[in-house]
Amino acid sequence: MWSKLLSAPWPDKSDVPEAVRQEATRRLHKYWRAQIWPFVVGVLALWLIVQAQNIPRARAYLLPVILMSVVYGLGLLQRYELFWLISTVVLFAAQGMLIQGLGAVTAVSFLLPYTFAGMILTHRKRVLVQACCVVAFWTSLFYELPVNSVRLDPPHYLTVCYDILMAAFTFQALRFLNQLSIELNTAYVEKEVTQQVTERSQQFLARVSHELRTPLNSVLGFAKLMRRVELPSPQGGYLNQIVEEGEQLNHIVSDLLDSAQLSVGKLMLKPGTCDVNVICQAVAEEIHSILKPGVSLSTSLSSDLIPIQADGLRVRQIVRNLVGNAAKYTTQGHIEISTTRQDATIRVSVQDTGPGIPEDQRDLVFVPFVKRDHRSPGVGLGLDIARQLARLHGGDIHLQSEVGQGSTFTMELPEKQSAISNQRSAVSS
Amino acid sequence: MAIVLYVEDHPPAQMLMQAIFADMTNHWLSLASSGQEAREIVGSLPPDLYIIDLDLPDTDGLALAAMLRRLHDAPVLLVSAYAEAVKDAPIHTLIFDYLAKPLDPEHVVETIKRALA
Repeated sequence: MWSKLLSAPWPDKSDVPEAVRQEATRRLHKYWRAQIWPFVVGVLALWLIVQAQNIPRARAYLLPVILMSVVYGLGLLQRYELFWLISTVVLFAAQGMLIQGLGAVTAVSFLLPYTFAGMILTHRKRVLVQACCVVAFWTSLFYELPVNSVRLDPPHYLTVCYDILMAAFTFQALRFLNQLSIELNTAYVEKEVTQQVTERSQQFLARVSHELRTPLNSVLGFAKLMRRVELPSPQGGYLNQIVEEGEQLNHIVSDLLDSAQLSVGKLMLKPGTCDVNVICQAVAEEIHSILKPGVSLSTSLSSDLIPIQADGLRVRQIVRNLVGNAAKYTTQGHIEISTTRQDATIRVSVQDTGPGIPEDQRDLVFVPFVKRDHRSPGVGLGLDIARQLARLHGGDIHLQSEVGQGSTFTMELPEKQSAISNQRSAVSS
Repeated sequence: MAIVLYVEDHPPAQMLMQAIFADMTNHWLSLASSGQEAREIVGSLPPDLYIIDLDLPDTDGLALAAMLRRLHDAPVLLVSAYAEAVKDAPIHTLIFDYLAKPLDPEHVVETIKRALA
């Protein structure tokens, strides 16, 4: 019967999330270490008084002191939480039983291990400790009723001292528990709410992007099919315009989605081997078509670059955003894409001869939806996405600029894969 | 000349695929607008390639791909307007490749060529 009872599933609500339980355990141990010493001093003092006053059977009062030191010592070690809690119960029970007339006060003190156990233990451990507490509670309450042979007969002042000590300890600990449960509840509810809001906005964005892309599919698809036929001069130009603007719209939808996923840490990189020089060259060719008249673009690629571990598509996106940004704001002069390698870090610099960015606005360029020039195309997400992607790779983007001279955006990427995995785990936690 | 089954519930997208096939390939395109219809078509006319939209009225594209491949095995291209499903998902074992909406006709034709090779 016993083995069956023990192996059966034990009642457990187990509705406390693991993170909350761990936090509760941590805080409880911290509290125990910081606050238990007055109680220890009190018990020691009582014991000394008992010894000094030559009270009959004084040695019996030694038991709580021994128990106290064991419990206190174990309370300092986080690993023995079960033993610690059970010995707290025994300690309270022993003291209550030794000192006559304290059943009620001792009973209340069992609330503490009971609540502690509910917060930091799970499954049968929790049930075990709480059952001990309940048994001890009723035993303490009914203790005064039956005739008991081992009952001591302490003097009145000792009873009162013990009464005060126990009440003070219980009251203080209950106050702490109250505060702790409020804080943990608030944190938990906040987390739940944030999570729900995040999930909702994710679903919403996925839906919106789906709805935007469905008509875009027809617009762009048919336009591209029509472009295969040589159309007469003005109409051919119109069609090119439709395709270009459609692609632009599609980029904006993708940017919005990327930004949303980056902001909640849901964007996952797909690391592979990628050659930054090849990416820069490809981006340079791609951007050539959108350069303003009077602007030239060149590349200066370092030959000692080695292929790095990174998400190639994302690195390309970063470079494209940086170069696209330079092309957008440079009306006259030159844009240069250069790569260098130094100290296991690869740097891609995009230098332009655009208007430059005043010092007080340099942080603003990375803020999502903030644009320096409201008439320029785009929604103002490119640099934000680029920097977040670079950071996800364990790198970063820096900006140097001189008003009237131009700006240089420099992306740094570590060569090693380890940086990526570290960064990813940091983001996911 | 191959037979390709396109499962898609959105009529303009069906039209676009028809146009791509008519203009740029010499394959034969059959159309289904739901999972049920696709199963019936596969029964009577087994295709050489499936192109399946991820978002269908009666089922989702991956489940349909698994079911159709049990009926008649052929490579599957999954079409989706959910960019993240296309960009970030690892290529599923059932799927030959993904096609992201908005579709680029040349890319579609090239992918079909690869899938049929």
